[in-house]
Amino acid sequence: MRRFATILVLLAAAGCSPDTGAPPPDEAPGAREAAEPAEQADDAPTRLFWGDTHLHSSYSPDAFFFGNRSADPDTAYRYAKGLPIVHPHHRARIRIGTPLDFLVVADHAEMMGVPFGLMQGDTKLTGTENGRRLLGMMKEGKGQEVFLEFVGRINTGEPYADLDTRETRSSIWRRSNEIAERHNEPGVFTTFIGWEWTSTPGGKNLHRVVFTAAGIETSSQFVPYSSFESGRPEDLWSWLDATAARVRADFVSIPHNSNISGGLMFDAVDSDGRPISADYARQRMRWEGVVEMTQIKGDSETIGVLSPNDEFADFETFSHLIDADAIEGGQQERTWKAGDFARTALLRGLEIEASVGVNPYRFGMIGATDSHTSAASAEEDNFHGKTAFDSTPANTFAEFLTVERFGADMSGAGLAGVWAEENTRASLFAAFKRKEVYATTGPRIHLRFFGGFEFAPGDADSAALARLGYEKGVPMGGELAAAPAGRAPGFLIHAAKDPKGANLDRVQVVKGWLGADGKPQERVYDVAASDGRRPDGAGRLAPVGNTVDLATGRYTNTIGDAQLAVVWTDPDFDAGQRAFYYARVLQIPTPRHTLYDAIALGMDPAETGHPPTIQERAYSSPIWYAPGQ
Amino acid sequence: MKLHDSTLGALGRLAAALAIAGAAPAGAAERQLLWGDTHLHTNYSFDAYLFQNRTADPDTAYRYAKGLPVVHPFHGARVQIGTPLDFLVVADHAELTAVPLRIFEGDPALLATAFGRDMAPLIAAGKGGEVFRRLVATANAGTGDPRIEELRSAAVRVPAWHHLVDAADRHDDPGTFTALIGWEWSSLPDAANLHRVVMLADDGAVAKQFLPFSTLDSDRPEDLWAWLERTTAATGAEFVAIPHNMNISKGRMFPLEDSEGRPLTAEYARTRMRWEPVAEITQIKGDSETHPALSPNDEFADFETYRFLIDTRPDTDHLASVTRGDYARGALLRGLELEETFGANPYKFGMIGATDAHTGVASAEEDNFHGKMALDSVPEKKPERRISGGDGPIGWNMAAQGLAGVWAEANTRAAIVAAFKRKEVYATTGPRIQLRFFGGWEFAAADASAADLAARGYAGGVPMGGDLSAAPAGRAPSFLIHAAKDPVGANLDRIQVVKGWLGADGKASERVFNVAASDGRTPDVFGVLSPVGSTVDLATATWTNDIGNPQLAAVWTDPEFDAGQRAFYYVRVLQIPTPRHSLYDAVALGRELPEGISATLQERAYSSPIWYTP
Repeated sequence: MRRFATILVLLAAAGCSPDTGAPPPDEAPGAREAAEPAEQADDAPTRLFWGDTHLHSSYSPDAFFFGNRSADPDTAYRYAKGLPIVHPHHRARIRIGTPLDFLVVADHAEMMGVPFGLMQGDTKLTGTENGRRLLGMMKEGKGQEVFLEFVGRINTGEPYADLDTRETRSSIWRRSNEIAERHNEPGVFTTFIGWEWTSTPGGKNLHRVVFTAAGIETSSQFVPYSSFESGRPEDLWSWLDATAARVRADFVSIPHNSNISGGLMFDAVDSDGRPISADYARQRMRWEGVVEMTQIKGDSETIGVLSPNDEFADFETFSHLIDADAIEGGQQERTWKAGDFARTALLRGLEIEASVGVNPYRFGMIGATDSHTSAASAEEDNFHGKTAFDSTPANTFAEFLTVERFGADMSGAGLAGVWAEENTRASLFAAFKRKEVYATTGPRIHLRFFGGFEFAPGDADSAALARLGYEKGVPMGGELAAAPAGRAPGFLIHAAKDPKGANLDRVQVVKGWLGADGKPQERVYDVAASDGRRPDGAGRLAPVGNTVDLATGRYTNTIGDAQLAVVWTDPDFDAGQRAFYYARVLQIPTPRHTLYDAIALGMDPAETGHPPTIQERAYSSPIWYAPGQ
Repeated sequence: MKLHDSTLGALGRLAAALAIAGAAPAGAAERQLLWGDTHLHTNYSFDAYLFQNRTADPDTAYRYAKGLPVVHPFHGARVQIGTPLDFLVVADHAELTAVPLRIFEGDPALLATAFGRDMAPLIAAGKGGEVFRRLVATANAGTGDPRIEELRSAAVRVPAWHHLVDAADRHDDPGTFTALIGWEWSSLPDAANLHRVVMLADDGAVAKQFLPFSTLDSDRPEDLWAWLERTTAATGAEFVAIPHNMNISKGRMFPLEDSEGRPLTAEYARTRMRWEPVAEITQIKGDSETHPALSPNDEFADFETYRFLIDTRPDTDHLASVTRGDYARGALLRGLELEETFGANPYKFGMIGATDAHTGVASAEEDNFHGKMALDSVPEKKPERRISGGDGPIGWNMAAQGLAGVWAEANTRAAIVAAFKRKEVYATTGPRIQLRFFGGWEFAAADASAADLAARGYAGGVPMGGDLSAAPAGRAPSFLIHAAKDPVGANLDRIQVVKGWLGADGKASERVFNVAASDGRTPDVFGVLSPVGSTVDLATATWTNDIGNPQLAAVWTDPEFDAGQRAFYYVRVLQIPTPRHSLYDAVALGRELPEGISATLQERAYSSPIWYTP
C-alpha cells in the first residue's frame, strides 16, 4: 500500500483547520487551486476529467412542474463550471464545491421545453389548442394536474399532436444546442449535445441519455429521438444506426435506473420476448458501451437479495417506479430481478456470450446526477435536490406527489470519472467508447485500474504507476485474453481520496465468472485496506469505524487512508472461464445529505428513514477475461 | 522590515505559523485566539422579526455559530458557517423583545395589550415593514407611544428575557464554546445611532436579577452607565458595553460634549472607560475605522463606507455626517486631545468587529453571507430597498462583516470578558486573520521570525490594548507584529501601522506607515507601496493565492517618535483583493452591479491600539 503522499496531506490538513474537528477544505470556495494527486504528475497518457452526463434543466417538463421554472441550460453550464447561480426553488445562491470538467444537459426529448415555452409566451405553443388549455391550467395553479397528464402521455406514448410538431421540436432543440455550443471551450470545459429518450412502458424505466460528439451543424440535422417515436430500445438503436450514417455523427447511448426497470433494462429477452441474439448484442454494444449505474434515484450496482455475500450491497436502494398510475394510486410491491442491476447484468452477459457468441452487457460504468434542478450537485453537504422542490430541509421530508416518495429517498449522487488525453469532445467521447470511465457516488475519488499478466507488487508503489499500467496491461474497460500458461491475471489498482473529502476504507475487486456448469458466480475480494487492517482467515476485513458525530454532522479523517494501492492477483483463476473484474473503492463513513437536514430541522436522524451515514464509493469499469480459443 | 521569501512552500509557512502560535512558553503567551460575534440578533428582535426572520431563534443562532447546519429563516434552504465560532453574544434589542413574535404566536399576555391588538392585523397581513416604519418613526420623534409603555411591564418582559438567558446558559460549554448573556440598548435620539451592546461575564442566576436597560428607560449613555454601576453593585455582575455604528451617529458617538451639552470632564471619561473599553468598529452596516474626508492621505480609507441613517421620517436628511465623532480613528485622536485637556481619555478603546446580523446566523464570510435582514439573503432581493419608496440602503450596501479576535486565557465567559477589559482583542472584516501586536522598547528584528514570537512579545512589551510610557532616553518604541492569513482564505497584501499623536499645538495628527509587504515589495521614497494587484476574475467570481503572502511579520520602530508627545499605534492588515458578496450575486444573476456597489474588496484586520503616554 502506497502512502508516500499521505504525510503531506495530513500536514496540510493539520495546518488548515487547527481547532475544529471537521476535515478542512483544501482551499476556500472560489479559490481555483486544484490538488492533483502526485501520481497524476507522471507521464501517463491520460488525465482524469469529471463530469455529469445527465442533467435536466427547466426545459424538461417534469423539472418545470417540480419547481424549476428558471434554471435553464445556461444556468446548468454555469453551475457546472463553478459559477454561483440562483437556485430555482428557494432562490438563494448556490455553488458547486468542485467544478466539473464536462456536462451533458440531457433534457427529456418528449415535449422538451413545452411548459417552459408556454409560460414564456412562445406563440408557436400558445397558439395551439392544447397549449391554450395547458397554459390556462398552469396559470390556475394546476401545474400538478398538467404534470400528471404529461407523465400519462409519456407512459402511453401519445404526444399532443399540436404541440409535438417538427417545428416546435426543432425550435427548442436548436435553442438548447446553441447554449451548449456557447459553453463548449476545448481544453477548459466540454459540453456535449444530448437528450434523454424517456421510454417508460408500464412505469418500467428504460430511459437512455444519448449524446453526440458532434456540434450544432450536425445536431441541427435531426430532432432528438423520443419515446413518442418508439418505446423500444431496438428502435432507438436503429434510429442511431440510420442517423449516424445520414449526418455522419457518432453517438453514445447510456441506460440508467435499471433499478426501476422491472427487470427490463438488462433482460434475457428482447422487446418482443425473443432470446437475445448475436445481432441484438452487437447492435446494443455499438451504442451502449457504458451504463449509468449510480445516480440520485439510487444505486444500481447490486442488491443484497441478489448478492447475499456482499456486505456492502444494500447501498442507496431506491424502489419507486415512475408510473402515473402508481403516482395516483399508490406504489406497487417491488421484486428484484437480475435485469435490474449492473452486476447481475454483467454476469448475464457472460452467460449470453457463452451461448450466442456476443456479450450484450459488456458495458463500462459511470455515475451521473439526473438532477432536475440544473445544478449538477452530487455533494452530500451541498446537494440541491432531485427536483427543485426537494431542495430545502422541510421539503426533503415533505410529500410532493401523492405517493410515498420524498426528497429524503434520493441519493446525493453521482459522477463520471473519465480518463482522457484532453478535455475535448473528441477525447472524452473516445474514452466513453473504450469504456475508460468510472462511477462515483459523488466524491472525486481518483481511481486507476489496470489488468495484465506481468504486474509486480512493486508497481503499486511506483511514481510511474499509470505508465506501467498502460505498458504492462490494459486499463479499465479493456480485455484480457488467453492467459499465458500457469499465469493468473494481476490487477494494478490505485485509489486516492477526494482532495477535499473523506479518507478511504478499502479497495475491493468484484469478480464475476461462469462456472464449469455455465452458471454465473460472483465474489468480492478485499484487496487493500486502510489503517493496517488485514483480512481474517475467512477473508473478512474489520469495519473501518465511523467518526461521524450525529449531533453535529461532522466527521474527521482520523480513520482511513488518503491513498490505497495494490497489485492483486486472482487466487481463484481458471484460464478456461469467462470472467470480469471491477474495482470498488469505499470511503470511510460520512454524513448522508439527510443527516444535515435532520440536524438543521432539529429532528432525530432515526426519524429520517435513512441511515445517517453512508460509505460513498467508486466503481471502475470492468476488465474482462476471455479464454483463448 | 521582515518579508518572508515568497518562494517558500506554503506548507512550510503554514507549519511556521503553527509553530509560532503553539510554541510559546507558559504564561500570557499561551493565550489562545478565540473568534466570536458579540452582536447577533434573532427573531426575538422586533425588527428582525418584522423583516422576515420568523424562525431563527436564539437556539438556531447558537447552533449556527457552533458549526451546525440550520434552516435559513427567509429562503428555507440549509446554511452552515464555513468556520465555526468560539463564542457568541445573542444581543437582541432590549426594546419590545420578542413582542412581534409573541403577538404572531398568539401569546395571550401580548394580545391583551393595546399595541398587540393594533399590530396583530398588520403582522398577520404581512405588513411587517409598515409596523417597523411606525415603530422607528415613533422612536425617532422622541415621544414614547403610550401603547409601547404598556409593553414595558415586567409581566411582558420577564418571560422573553429569561428565555434568552436560559438559551445562553444551555449553550455555554466552558472550554469549547462560550455563550455570553447580553442585549442591545438601542438609543436613537433624533436618528443618531448611539446603540450599545451590553454583555456580562455572569450566568443566568445573576442575569435574572435584572431586566436589560433599554432606551425606553433612557436614551442617554450616561444613564446606561449609571444603571450598570447600580446593577453591578446590586448583583455583582461584570458588564462590558460596546458602542457600534458610530458611522451613523451624527457625530454623537464620540462627542466633545455630554448628553446635556456640557464639555466632557475627567469624570465622564473615567465612567465611560469603566464600561466601554472596546468599540465595535466594523460590521454589516459599514466600516467605522475612518473616512476619506477625515484621512485624505490614507489610500485605503474608503472601505465599506455606509452613511444611511436609521431614519424613516420624511423631510429629514438621511445622510450620515462625517466628523471625528463618527469614526474610530477620529475618536482615538480626539481622545488624545481631551486627555491633554483634563487628564483622562474618554476614547481609549480597543477595537472589534461584529456582524449585527438580524438573521440568527452570524455570517461574515463574503461567499457565505446570509444578509443583514432575513430578506436580504437572496440575490434577487439584494438590489431592492427594504422599505419601498425610501432612500434607504439595499442589501448590496451591506458589508459581510465582521468578527472579534480575542486573545484569552481560556474559552470561558470570565476569560473572554477579561480580555475585553484589557482590550486584548481585535477586529476583522470577516476573515480569520491571526494577528499579534506588541509594543516595547527592546524588540530586535530577529524577534519577528522567532518561533517563540509571542513569548518574546509578552516578555519584552505589552500586547494590543496596552500602554507604554516614559520612553527611555533616546529610545523610540518598537512594535513586534505578526499576521497570518485565514487558513481557508486569501493571502495578505501588507501590514500597516496607524499612528496618531498630539502635536505641540495640542492638535492630534495621523499617519499610516507600511511596515511589511508581500511579494518582496518595498515602499518607494515617499513610503508608498505599489498595489498588490488582483487575481479576481469578475466573470466567474474566482480568485487565486498567486499573489500576496500567507504570513507577514515585522519589528517596526517609530521613525518619528517624540518622547514628549502622546500617541497611539494600531495595526491594520490588508488581504489581497477577493470577491465581495455582491459580486457572487451579480454572477449568479448574470447582471452588472449598480454604480457605487463594489465587486471586490480588501478585507482587513484592525488591532486594538497601544498607547504611549509621556
